[in-house]
Amino acid sequence: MTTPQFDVVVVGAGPAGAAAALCAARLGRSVCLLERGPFPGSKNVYGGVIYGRILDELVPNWWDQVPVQRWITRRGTMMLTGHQSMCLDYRTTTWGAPPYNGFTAYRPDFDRWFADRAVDAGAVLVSSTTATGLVRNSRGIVCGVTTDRDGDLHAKVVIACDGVNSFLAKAAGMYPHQGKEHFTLGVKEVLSLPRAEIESRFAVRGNEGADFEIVGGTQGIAGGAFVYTNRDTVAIGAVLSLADLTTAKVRPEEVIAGLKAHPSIAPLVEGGELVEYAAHLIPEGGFDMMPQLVGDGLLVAGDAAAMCLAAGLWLEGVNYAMGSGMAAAEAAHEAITNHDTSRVGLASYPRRLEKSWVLIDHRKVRRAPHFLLSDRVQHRYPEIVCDALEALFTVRNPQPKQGLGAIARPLLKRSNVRIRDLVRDGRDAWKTYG
Amino acid sequence: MVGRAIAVVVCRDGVLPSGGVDVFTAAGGCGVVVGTGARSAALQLSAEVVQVAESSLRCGQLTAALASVPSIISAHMIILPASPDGRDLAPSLAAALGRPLIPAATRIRHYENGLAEVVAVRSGGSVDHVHRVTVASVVTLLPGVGSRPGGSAPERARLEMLELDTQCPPGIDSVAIDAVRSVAVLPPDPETMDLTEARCIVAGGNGLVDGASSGRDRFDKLREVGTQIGASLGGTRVASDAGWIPFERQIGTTGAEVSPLVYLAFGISGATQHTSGLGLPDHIISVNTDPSCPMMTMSEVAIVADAYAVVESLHRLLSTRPERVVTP
Amino acid sequence: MDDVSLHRPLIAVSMKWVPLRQDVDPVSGVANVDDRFAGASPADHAALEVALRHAERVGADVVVACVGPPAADAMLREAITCGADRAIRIDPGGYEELPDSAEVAGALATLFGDLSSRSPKRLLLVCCGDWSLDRGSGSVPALLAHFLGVPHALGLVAVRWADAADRASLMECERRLDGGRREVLHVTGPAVVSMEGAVATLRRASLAGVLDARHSTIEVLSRPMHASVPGVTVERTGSHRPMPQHTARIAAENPRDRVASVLGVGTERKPPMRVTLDPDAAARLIHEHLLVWGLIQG
Ligand SMILES: Cc1cc2nc3c(=O)[nH]c(=O)nc-3n(C[C@H](O)[C@H](O)[C@H](O)COP(=O)(O)OP(=O)(O)OC[C@H]3O[C@@H](n4cnc5c(N)ncnc54)[C@H](O)[C@@H]3O)c2cc1C
Ligand SMILES: Cc1cc2nc3c(=O)[nH]c(=O)nc-3n(C[C@H](O)[C@H](O)[C@H](O)COP(=O)(O)OP(=O)(O)OC[C@H]3O[C@@H](n4cnc5c(N)ncnc54)[C@H](O)[C@@H]3O)c2cc1C
Ligand SMILES: Nc1ncnc2c1ncn2[C@@H]1O[C@H](COP(=O)(O)O)[C@@H](O)[C@H]1O
Repeated sequence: MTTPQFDVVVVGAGPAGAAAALCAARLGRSVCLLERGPFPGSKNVYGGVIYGRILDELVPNWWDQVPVQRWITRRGTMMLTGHQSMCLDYRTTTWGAPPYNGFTAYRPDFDRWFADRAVDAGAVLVSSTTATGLVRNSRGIVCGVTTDRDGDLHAKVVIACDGVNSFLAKAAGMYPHQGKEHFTLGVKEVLSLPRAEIESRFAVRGNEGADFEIVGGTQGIAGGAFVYTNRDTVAIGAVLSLADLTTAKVRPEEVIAGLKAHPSIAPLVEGGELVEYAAHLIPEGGFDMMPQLVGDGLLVAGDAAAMCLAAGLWLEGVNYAMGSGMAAAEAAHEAITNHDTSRVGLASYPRRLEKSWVLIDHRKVRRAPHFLLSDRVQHRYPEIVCDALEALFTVRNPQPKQGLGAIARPLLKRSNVRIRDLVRDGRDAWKTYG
Repeated sequence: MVGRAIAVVVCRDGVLPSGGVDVFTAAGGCGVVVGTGARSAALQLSAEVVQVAESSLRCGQLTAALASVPSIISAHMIILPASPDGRDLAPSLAAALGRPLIPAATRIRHYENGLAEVVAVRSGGSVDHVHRVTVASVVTLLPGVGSRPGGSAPERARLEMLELDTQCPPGIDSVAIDAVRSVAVLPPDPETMDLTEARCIVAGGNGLVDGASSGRDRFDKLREVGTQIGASLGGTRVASDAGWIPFERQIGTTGAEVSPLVYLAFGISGATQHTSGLGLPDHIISVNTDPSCPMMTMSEVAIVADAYAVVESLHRLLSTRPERVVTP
Repeated sequence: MDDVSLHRPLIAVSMKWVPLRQDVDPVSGVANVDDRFAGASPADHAALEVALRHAERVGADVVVACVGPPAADAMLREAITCGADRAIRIDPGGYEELPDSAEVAGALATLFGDLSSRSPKRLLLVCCGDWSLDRGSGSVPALLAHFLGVPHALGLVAVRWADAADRASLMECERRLDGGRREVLHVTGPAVVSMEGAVATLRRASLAGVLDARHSTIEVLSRPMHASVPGVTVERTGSHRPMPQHTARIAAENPRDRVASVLGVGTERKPPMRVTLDPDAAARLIHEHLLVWGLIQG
């Protein structure tokens, strides 16, 4: 039996892998896309809000075909304390029409659709097959993978898109960070509610949807939370520091239960029947913990390369996964054309990333994890802001209204935040998000 | 004879299959018992009229023979137990008579004008289909309706001997029949027995493992204890989800519905989803660290102790004792 | 239809394409089927594996057949990947409803009969799963046997092959009987056998096999079928309710006493025993009770 041979073998048919396969196939390369689940997305239950801009390049008019739940036209940013909340609520009709901005989707639908586009472009999808190791040639260059089936699969370049905690990157010794501090835990519940009920609770119509990102409300565990709408389900979840979870001995389900009971969240999700609970690691630590991206004959993309932005105001991974997958495919194509698939030949991958928004974004928010997970941002600011607003809006006739300064100073003092901290955090926030 | 139902029961060595009594009840008291030791099997029934056919025919031959019995041909509904032999026979009997088959019924209701309503389970036991039946049909009835001992005292049935036509029907030659030969019947083995038939069950839950990494080993030990006392192994959903026991061994609403006489629960909290699949055991023993959990409150003997430690002690104790398992 | 090889005997496998994951609405009993998680049940996989192993021993060709929609081709392709020589799908049309089991069995029997019509000894064995997951009537195999005019061995829990070369084609099978008994059967065929999933685990196809199977052809026959038979209609569906349990007749005279006796009020009852014990003492206590209850005997 001859060993099957491809130009490119992509391991993992998530968004990163499908994008890499699609892009490489478009460039005329023979591509094999390996997926361990029975179909792409079958193992990805963590669906959420996907930002589609990156798809413009890959699938023209993607919005006409993508399996969407709802188009996000309402984006809320909330701060929670035990009994208060503050929400910056942004709505626009622009996001509800082509070319759109973000949408919610079930990942088994989205990933399958996306991988089918790669198949249309000529990639060969092999599902129910797990990559179990790397094959190297006599010069030590990766030239294929072994799988849980008999026979190896040979390739000029292997692109590892096998998700967080990448087995392949680890096998290649490219993944130095394995400690708790480098991961957060994403947990999510999907609650089913009648469609009309969702539309009235979230004040959206038709196929419009809402997405709330939340700071605070995670029971003292550093992290963030989110609530978003699908067609007839609502997803509520949190991204939580693993280290905190372990020391606080709080179970992630309890955090979600607490969120669901919060007076500002409860009216949104009450009465929903639990249809799915899922927990999954997310690479965190930002730009600074990215593994080595290039090995001899091997590229790493998507969550496998820790290219996921799970830092407070954002929870994005799918678009970064797609972006890095594309860059990896282009680099592989170029290296194969130049007959050099060594580390040197593949070096255009990080360069491409650096020039693209993928790494620019990540570099920009490289401080975000430290900033967002700091105690001040996590606990004290939400309290200060909420208390200040409460003082501002509570009518205490016949006492006169207080000025903002007069309200803020004692609050800052009470929570032990110095003006100096405030200035520094303000500067950090501007650098990170501004 | 519109509206008349008839039970057809295949017996072996004078033993009625499970559900054999139920089908006679469902058919209103009349039926046929066919097989080896048919007469003594028929004597265990409380029925009106039983036609008895002593026979060792199998498969196609048996079908052909039964399909020419007048009382069967004229019956509006033929009811067989959904026991292994009943499930074997029913489809071909239906096909031979050109009648529809409704398998795995749980309730049968007859109406005046030959109409019947048959509830049958589908989709692996999770869905009930309610059928409206207006033609002559063949139904298999799941065992379990009213089959617990202690029902009404058997009234002696009127037995009629039935001669079966043992002529081989055209199309089936005896060589073909020999392509499948029964060579032995093995006695029950609690380890492999269907849980639903077990007289005694030892079951474990989360508390048997209690955080230990070796869940499977612990359940293996419990299974061995089961073998020592002639009990089958069962468990909660927590146990089957964790892979400590295979899914068929899970007891409860989403698992097997069982009806043992004796139930031993080790580290089981007694959630209603679990206990609602338990039937009404005569005796329950429970070992749990929490004296007030539901499983303990419904037990005749509730022992506050570490479940696995007790399993180990019991294993040791039983392996040094001369007792043997009592087979019913 | 071309012939795989005229002189080799034939082993047929019937495999059903079923949803492997379904949610049942607890109120309506409507099964919400997720088509993406569909394929052959473990029992049908076992049937294929047994067929392949038997074919290797006796030198037979394996034909896999399915009555089902085009989506079932993926399952048939997998069968070819694993070593089946030929795969045929009978398309029943009207995919909304499942075709009637008797019609399915009739169509499969006709197909297998046609394939073996050249020589009556050609069809050696038909392997099936014991129950299909979606409708679960377990009747197709018995009906197949009836239509083919061959005996059957249904609900197998174990299959073994004799070592002796002269008995290469003999399969020793075990199946469940009532009360936990097992029947041992010797199957030489032609016969229909159906088995539980635990009998055998389907081999994993090689990577090259998987890649090649993309180009293999699935033969398709069209044979429209009915979903139900005249005279039997499904009026409604609901989630499964356990069967009612009959209890002994209550002897009490008046309603009050009847209720009291159902609830067990006033009847003499041994109070439950609640004890805290060390493991050895607990084991002894359990042991005593097992003796008293007659489960074990000194
Ligand atoms: C709770 C939660 C909520 C999130 N919400 C959002 C959100 O709202 N928006 C957003 O953009 N991102 C979100 N993310 C992040 C996002 O899910 C990931 O960043 C994204 O899925 C990364 O894509 P990927 O292709 O790199 O990896 P994955 O999607 O993880 O895909 C990896 C694929 O590889 C396969 N695989 C793994 N190992 C092997 C192997 N050895 N052989 C073969 N196949 C293999 C897997 O089966 C899988 O299909 C969220 C994450 C979590 C946990
Ligand atoms: C829709 C649905 C369907 C379900 N279907 C089923 C079903 O079919 N079957 C089923 O079983 N469950 C089912 N469940 C799950 C059910 O609700 C319970 O969660 C489950 O039965 C609990 O299993 P358990 O008793 O093993 O675990 P737990 O509830 O965790 O109980 C463990 C017990 O062990 C005790 N314990 C702890 N440590 C020790 C020790 N060292 N020694 C002794 N005791 C100890 C604890 O006190 C506790 O009582 C279903 C649930 C849902 C929602
Ligand atoms: N549509 C079908 N196509 C092929 N085989 C089938 C089909 N339906 C049932 N079978 C076979 O019959 C077995 C029992 O199915 P059932 O009688 O539907 O419970 C299955 O495991 C299959 O082997």
